[in-house]
Amino acid sequence: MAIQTPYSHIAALVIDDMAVQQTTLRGQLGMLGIGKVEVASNADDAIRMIRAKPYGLILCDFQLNHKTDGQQLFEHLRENNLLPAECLFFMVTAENGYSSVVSANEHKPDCYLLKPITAGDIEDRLKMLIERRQALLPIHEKLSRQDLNGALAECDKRLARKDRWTMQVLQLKGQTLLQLGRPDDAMGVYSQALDERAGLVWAQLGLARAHKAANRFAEAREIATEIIQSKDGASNVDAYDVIAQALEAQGDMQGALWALKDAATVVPSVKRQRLVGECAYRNGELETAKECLAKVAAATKGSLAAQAQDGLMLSQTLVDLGEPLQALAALDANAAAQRNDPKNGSVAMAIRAQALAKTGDVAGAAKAAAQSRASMRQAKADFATVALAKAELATGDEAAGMKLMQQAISADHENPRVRQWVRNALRDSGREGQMDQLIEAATASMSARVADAKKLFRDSQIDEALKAIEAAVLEFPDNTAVLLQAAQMNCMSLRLKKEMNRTGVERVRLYLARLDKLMPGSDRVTQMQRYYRETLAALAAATLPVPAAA
Amino acid sequence: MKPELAALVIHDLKNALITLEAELDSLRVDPNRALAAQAHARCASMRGRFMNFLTLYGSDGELHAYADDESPQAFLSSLVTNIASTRAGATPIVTTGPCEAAPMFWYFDVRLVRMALDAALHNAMRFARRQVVLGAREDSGHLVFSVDDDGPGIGSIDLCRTSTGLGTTLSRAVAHAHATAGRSGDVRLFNRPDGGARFELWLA
Repeated sequence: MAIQTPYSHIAALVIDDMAVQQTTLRGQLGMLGIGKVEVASNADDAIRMIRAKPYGLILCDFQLNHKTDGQQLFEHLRENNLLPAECLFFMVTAENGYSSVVSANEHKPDCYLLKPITAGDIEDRLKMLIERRQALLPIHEKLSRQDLNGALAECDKRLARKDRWTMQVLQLKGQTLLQLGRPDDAMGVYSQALDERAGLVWAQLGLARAHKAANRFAEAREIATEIIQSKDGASNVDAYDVIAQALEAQGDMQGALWALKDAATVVPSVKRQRLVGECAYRNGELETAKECLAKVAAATKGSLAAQAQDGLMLSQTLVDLGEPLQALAALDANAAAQRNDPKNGSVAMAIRAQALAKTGDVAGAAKAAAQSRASMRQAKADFATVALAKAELATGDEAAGMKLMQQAISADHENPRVRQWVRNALRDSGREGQMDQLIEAATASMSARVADAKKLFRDSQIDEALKAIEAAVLEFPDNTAVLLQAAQMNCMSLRLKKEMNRTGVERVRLYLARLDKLMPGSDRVTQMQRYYRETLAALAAATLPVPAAA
Repeated sequence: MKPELAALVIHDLKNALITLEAELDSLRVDPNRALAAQAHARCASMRGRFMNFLTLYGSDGELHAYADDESPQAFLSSLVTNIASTRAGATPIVTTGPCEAAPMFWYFDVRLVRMALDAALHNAMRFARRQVVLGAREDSGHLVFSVDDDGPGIGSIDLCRTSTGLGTTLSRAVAHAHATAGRSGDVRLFNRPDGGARFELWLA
């Protein structure tokens, strides 16, 4: 009969390809009272099982002896949100290679267990992690409800106790302040952590991010560089990302690419190669893009980390390099991934049209372009729209091609990535001189609309101004500049009228949610969210009642 | 790692293997639980020493600490529980002393510190009469782990004949790996005024 312990209710999954190790781990979990143990011998089975039911504890061997190792599996699970918050993930590693497993990765599991493992080892970590979860639960509960100020209050309550979890709470408090758009307060928290423990990588990284959020890009880069040069932070890819983002924000796309290349050298994962390939493509460094994307395609062939977009971007790169036959071969190799998503099929057709046009197959190119056109949805600020625009140009329909480019830009005219794609497309087709004209045409009607709305607002015609900006949002639903303007104008209107207008509040919330999707992690969006929250607080102080969800 | 030390360690492990072989041979003739437990404990201890050896051997003497936010007190408790589970009721008994001066949390690499303390414990248990006491305290900006035995003390035994020096070399490397912000770690071994020896691992 199974023994009853504090862990008896936990459903566990062991992922290991060796039958002996499966049995050993199952036995050790049994000694801890964990009787509900299931076993997966490979990554694909594991994913299937994890999708089918929630586990409280996963023990995964790093060496899975297949295409996917334990770390890749873990990152796949994390990035696809397949692990519920309460699931603990323990990575089991052997002595040799322990260092590389622990240091060179992007996401960290809850703990690493070094073979040979005893039941005591598992219990020690389980006990600590469950205690920690319990201690931090009030903070996490508020965070999961997006109640950032509530989470902050819980952090302070816990910090007042000066207990075992102080550093963990400081880390959460810093993150929450950054999310709240209060970088200077976040810096105070991170400095406090560094006073406690000099050289703490997460606290230094927090400082760098806070500087970046406050547009102090040089300081952000300086601290991130210090992290990379330190013993503990040498392979911290987040620090490289801060550098890349700061450089990109300063308009140094070349520098950003170098930072991403360095990160991919430190952590040579598929994801990192993909980021470099994508950035190199935008920067017009086609040989680098080809090299990285080909590596990604080779490494993920038949693996769960494969993404259709990789093959599509590789094919587009090959077309741009003037290697249409290789591009067609890459498209064929990628066919299975394209079938899963009709949008990918449409992009693939657009690239095929370009490739066929380059081989001189005019009829085939026209047919492929027509197929792509027929299946493409509304024009957006995305790779797909630009690919179709290029296909139209390649098959001789200049008007349609330029119109699509214009639509791609007007969909989100401040998006620097779309501008880069379009600029490259124009250059490749000998139309480089038309870029400014295109941007002007693309932004004219929208700029006029925004300007009109702003003028109405200045003239105190608040309701008319809101109607005007609302119309602009309807016409350009993905335009981040328009959305930011609309959010700001609605907040200002709420403040001026000193009235908790539910429709207005809902509208801002909707714009902010859309912005969050379009520009995840953007400091500008964070600032607008802060302005929105402050607006709500100001209204709550002036009027009653407050909407429950606010 | 110096070749002389490597040779000593391998020699030492070879001797332990000979003893283990003899114990297994006896078990073949006369299976009994007590001897099986003894052989198992010897095997586990050898495995531990092998791992220490490999950790040092592969590192060129420079270990890297993956320090995490840990509770020194919980760490010591788990060490004691672990030992108790393999040698129930045997002398010397291993306990934790008063830990009021221990910090609530500290950043250290559990894996490395466990190796260093296991090696120190292994030594202390060989010389202790009745008990070995583990302790933790904060002292001059360091976290100090201590291992006290109530044996005859240092100097009364010729260490060269009883120890390869692997434990000390490992502990030094672990202490150095925990250097931070200009402060370094250290290892101290001395006789206590009230008798017995004390081993201390100072982590920055």
